[in-house]
Amino acid sequence: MGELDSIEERSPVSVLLQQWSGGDAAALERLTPIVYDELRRLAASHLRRERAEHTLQPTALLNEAYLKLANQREQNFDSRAQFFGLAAHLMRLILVDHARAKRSAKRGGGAQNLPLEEAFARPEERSDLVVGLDDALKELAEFDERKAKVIEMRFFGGMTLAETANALLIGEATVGREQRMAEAWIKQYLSGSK
Amino acid sequence: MTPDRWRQIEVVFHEAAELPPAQRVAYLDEACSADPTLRAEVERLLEAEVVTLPFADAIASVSVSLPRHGGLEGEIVGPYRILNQIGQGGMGTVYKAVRSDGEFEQFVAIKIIRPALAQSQVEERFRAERQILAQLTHPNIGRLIDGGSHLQMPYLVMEFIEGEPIDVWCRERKLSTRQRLELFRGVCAAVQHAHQRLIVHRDLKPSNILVQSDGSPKLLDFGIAKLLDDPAGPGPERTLTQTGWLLMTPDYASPEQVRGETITVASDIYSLGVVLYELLTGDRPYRLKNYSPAEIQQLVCTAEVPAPSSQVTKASRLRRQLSGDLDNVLLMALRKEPERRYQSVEQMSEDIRRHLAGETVIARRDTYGYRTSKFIRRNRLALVLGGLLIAAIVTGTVMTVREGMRAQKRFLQVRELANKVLNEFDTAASKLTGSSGLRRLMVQESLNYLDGLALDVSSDPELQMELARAYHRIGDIQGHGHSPNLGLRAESLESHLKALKLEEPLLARLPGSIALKRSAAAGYAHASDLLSRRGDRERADLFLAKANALVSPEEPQSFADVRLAQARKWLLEGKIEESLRASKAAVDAAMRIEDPSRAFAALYETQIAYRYLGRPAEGLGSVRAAKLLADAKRDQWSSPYFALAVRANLAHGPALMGDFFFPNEERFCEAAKEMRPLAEASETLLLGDLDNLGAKITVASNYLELAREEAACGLPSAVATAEHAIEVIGKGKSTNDMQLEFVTGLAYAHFKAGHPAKALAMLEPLAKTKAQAADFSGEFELALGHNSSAITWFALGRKLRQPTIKAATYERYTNSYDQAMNILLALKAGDKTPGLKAQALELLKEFPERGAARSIERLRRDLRGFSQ
Repeated sequence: MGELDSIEERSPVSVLLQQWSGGDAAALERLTPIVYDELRRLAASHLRRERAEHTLQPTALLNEAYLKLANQREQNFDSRAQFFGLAAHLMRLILVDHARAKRSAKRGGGAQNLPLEEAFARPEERSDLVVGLDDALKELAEFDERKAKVIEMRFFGGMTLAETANALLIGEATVGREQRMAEAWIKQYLSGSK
Repeated sequence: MTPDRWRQIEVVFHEAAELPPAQRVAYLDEACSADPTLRAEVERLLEAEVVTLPFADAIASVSVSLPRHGGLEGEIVGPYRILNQIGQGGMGTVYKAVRSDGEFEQFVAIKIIRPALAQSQVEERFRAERQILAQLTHPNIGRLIDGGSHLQMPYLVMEFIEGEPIDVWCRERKLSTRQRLELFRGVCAAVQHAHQRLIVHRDLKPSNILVQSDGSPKLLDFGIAKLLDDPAGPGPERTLTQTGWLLMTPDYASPEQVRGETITVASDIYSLGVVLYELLTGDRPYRLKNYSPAEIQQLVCTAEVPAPSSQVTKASRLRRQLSGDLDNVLLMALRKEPERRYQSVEQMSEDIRRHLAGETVIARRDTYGYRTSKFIRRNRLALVLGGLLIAAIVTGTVMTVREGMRAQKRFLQVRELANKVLNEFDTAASKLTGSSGLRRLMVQESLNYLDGLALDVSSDPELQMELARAYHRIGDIQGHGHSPNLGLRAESLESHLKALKLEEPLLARLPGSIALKRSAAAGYAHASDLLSRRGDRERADLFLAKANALVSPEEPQSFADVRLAQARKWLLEGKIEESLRASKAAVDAAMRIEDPSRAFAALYETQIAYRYLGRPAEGLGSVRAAKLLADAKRDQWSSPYFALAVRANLAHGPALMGDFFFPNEERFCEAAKEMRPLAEASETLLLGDLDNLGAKITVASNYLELAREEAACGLPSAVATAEHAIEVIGKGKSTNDMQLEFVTGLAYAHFKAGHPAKALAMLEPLAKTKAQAADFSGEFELALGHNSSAITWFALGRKLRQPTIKAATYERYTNSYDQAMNILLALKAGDKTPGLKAQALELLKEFPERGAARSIERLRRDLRGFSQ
C-alpha cells in the first residue's frame, strides 16, 4: 500500500521532470504547457513587484510556483533545479516574444549610430535590449551552450549563483567566470550589431 | 567561431581579466606574441567588459508591460491581423482576426498554440495533419483554412463562426424535445461525414458545437485534438496524469480516452451521447467535482450511467418523453465498452429518426450477459466504413450476374471492385487496428464474386485484365506485399496464379501493353517468392525468369518487386554478392518512386546480405537507413502496428550488426532499452487485432528478441519478458519450430538469471530431438560443472544437426557456426574425440577467411588454441 500511496501523491509535474531528467525529451514537451501559464503569470505580475529594488530575485517566486505545480510534500532538489532551468528558458521565451511584439509595434524609431550605453539608455529602448540579448544568446549558444544557459538562468530566471551552479552541475566559481566572459561577449556582439 | 578557437580565447581572456588593467598589456604581448588576431579578439572582449548595460532593468520593464493574458491584439500573424481574443482553452488562445492584405474582408478565428519546444517535429506533423483536415468540407463543419508558426508558436486559422453553443441555444430558445433531437441529427450528419473520411473529432462538447443564427449547427475543431496530441499515438505511457489529457475535456470524454487507449469513432459516439444527454435532461450523466485522476476514472470508466428519465425529478411530460426509447438510445451510446455502442453515428441518428417517426428503435435495454457477436465486436469500426459499400457492390453484382447484364457493365463493376473496395477501402481499413476480420471477409466476398465471373468470362481483353488486376490485388492483401497482409500465403499464391492464368494468354495477344506487362511481372515475382518460400524451387525459377523477361527499369514499382524477389532467391541459394546487387537495385527503384514499404523491404535484404558477407559496418548503414525511412514515412505505413513492428525489429539491428554471432553485451543493453517501448506499443495495437496471426507472431517475436537482449545484457526482467512472449503467441497456436525458439529463449533467460538447473529442466522435453535444445543443454550442464553430461549433449547436438543442413543460406551459415561452437564447447568440457578440432575448422571454411564477422575470427582463434 505504501508504494501506491506515494504514487498517488506525485503530480504530473514531478513525474515529467523526472522523466525529462532521465533523458526523455518528449517529457519536456508535455511539461511545458502545464507550467507555461503559471510562469506567464509570474512573469507578468511578480517580476514587476521586485523592480523597485532594481534586483531580480524571482526565485522565491519560482520556488512557490514549483511547490504549487509539483505538489510535493518534500522538496526534491534535483527536480527543483531542473524546474528552475526550464522556468528560466520559458521566461525567456515569454519575455522575448513580448519584447519583439512591442518592438514591431513601434517599428521605425530607435537610435542609430549611438554609443552602446546611450543606445539602450532610454526606457523606450529596453525592449530592444531584451531582443538584442536574445539574439546574442542564440549566437553564443552555437559555440558555447553552457555560457548561454548561465546567462539565461541568471538574467531571465533570476536564479542565484548557487541555484545556477546546482542546475548546471558545476561549481559556483565556474558560474561566475562563465557569466563574466559571456557578458563581455554579449556586449561586444551588441556593439557590433548596433 | 569554432569551439577550439573559442577555447583559446577563453583561456587568455580569463588570465588577462584576473590581472589589474595595467599589467594586461604585458601579459597579452607575451601570450599572443604569435597570434595577433587572438590578441585583438581578447582585447575587444576586455573593452566590452567596462560597458554597463541595464539587462536586468530591461527584462523587468518588459515584464511590467506584459499583459496578463494573450496580448497578441493588433499583431500581424501571417496574412492576418489579430483583432481580439475570443476564447481560451487547454490548447491555447483563440483570436478573431481579419486578413490584413486588404484584398477582401474575411474574418477568421486563429488558434495560437502554446509554444512547444521540439519545434521542427511538431511543425512537420502539423503540416501532414492539416492536409488531411483540409479535405474536410461540409457545410456543418468549420473549415481549417491555414496554419503556420508565429513567434515559435504554431497556429491554426479556421473559419470564423458566429453562433451560440448548442446547449445555450436550446436553453434560451426553450426548444422542445423534438426540436432538440432534430437539431442533434444535423450534428450527427456532420460527424458521420468526417468519420467516413476516417477523421475522428476526439473532443466533442457543446462549446465545439455552435448553432448559427439560421438554426444550422456548425462543428468546430474537428480533428484538432489529434493534431495536438502525442505524436507517438496511443500508448501505454499516456495515462490520466499526463498532459495529453489536459488538452481534453474529461466531462465529455469516453472511458477509452480516459484510459489512454486507442480512440476511434466510437469515442465520438460516446461524447455525442453525453452532449445529447445534457441537451435533453439539462444535466450530464455525471458531474466531475475535483477532476482528480481517481475521480475521472471512477465516474467515467466505472460508475453506472443513470437513465436520463431518472434525472428528471418530478413526474412530468419530459420524464414520460425520455423513458423508454430515448433512455435506451442514450444508454446505448454511453456504454463503457466501445464495441457495444452504436456502430456508427449514422445508426444512432437513424434510431433517433425512428423514435421521432414513432417506429421501433434498435437500442435495447442493456441486459446482463449481453454480447454482440464476435465478428461485430472485432470489426465494428471497419464495418461502419466499408460494410455498406461492399454489401452494395457484391450483392448488386451477384444480382446482375443472375440477370445476365452486359459485359460492359461487368467491366465497370470489376473496375469498381478493384479500385474502390480493394484499393481505397482496404488502404483505409489496413490503417485501423482490428480490421483483419473484416478484410478477410471482404477478400472472401470479392473472391466469390470474381470466381463466378471468371467462369463466365467473355473474351473481352479489357475485362480480363481488370479481373486479373483484382486477383493480384487480393493476393497482395491475402499474403504478400510489403504492407500488412492477412498472412494467408497459400491462398495468396492461389489468387496470383488465377490472375496469371488470365494474363498469360493476353501477353501473347497484346504484346505492347505496358500496363499488362507491369502487372504480370510483379505478379510473377510475387508468385515466385511465395513458391520459393514453400520450397518449390523449380517453379520459383521459372516464374522469376518470366518476371525478368517482362520487367523494365522504366517501371520502377514492378522493377523493384522483381529485383527483390530475385534478391531473396539468390540469398537462399547462397549467391550473396548477386543478391546484394539485386536488392540494391530494388532500393534504388523504390527510392525513385518514394515508396517507403518497398524501399524498406529491399534495405532489409541488403542488411542480411551484408551480414553474411562479414561487412557489418555497411549492414549497419542499411539498418539505419531503413530505420530513418520507417520513421520519416511513418504516416505512409499502412498500419500502425506494422510500422511499430518494423521499428521494433530494427531496434536490435545495431546490436546484431556489431557482430552477427557474438554481439557485445553493451550493444544488447542499448538495443533492449530501445526496443522495450516499441515492443509494448506494438502489443497495445495488436490487442485490437487478435485475428491477425501474422501480427501476433510479430509481437511475440519482438518480445522474444527483447528477452534475449535483456538476458544478454544481464537484466533480471528477461525471464518475465520471455514468459510474456510465450503468453502472447498462445499455447498450441505455434508451430514446433516456433515453440523451440520460444522455449529456448526462456531457458536462456533463466540461465542468464543464474538458474542453469531450471533452464535445463525446461529444455528436457525438446533436447533429445532438437539440436539447438541439445546444444543449450550441454552449455547449461557445463555451467553446472557436469562435464561428461555436457559432452554427451554436445555429441547429440551434432548428430541431430547433421541431417538438417539445408540449402538455405541462413540455415547453412548458422548451422556451421552453431556446430563449430558446439565443438568448441565440447573441447572445453574435455571431449577427447579425435578429429573434432579439424572438423570445426573445416566447418568455418564456409565463412570468408578475411573480413568475416569478429565472432568467426574469435571462434577460429579459440579452436586453434586447443592442442588436439
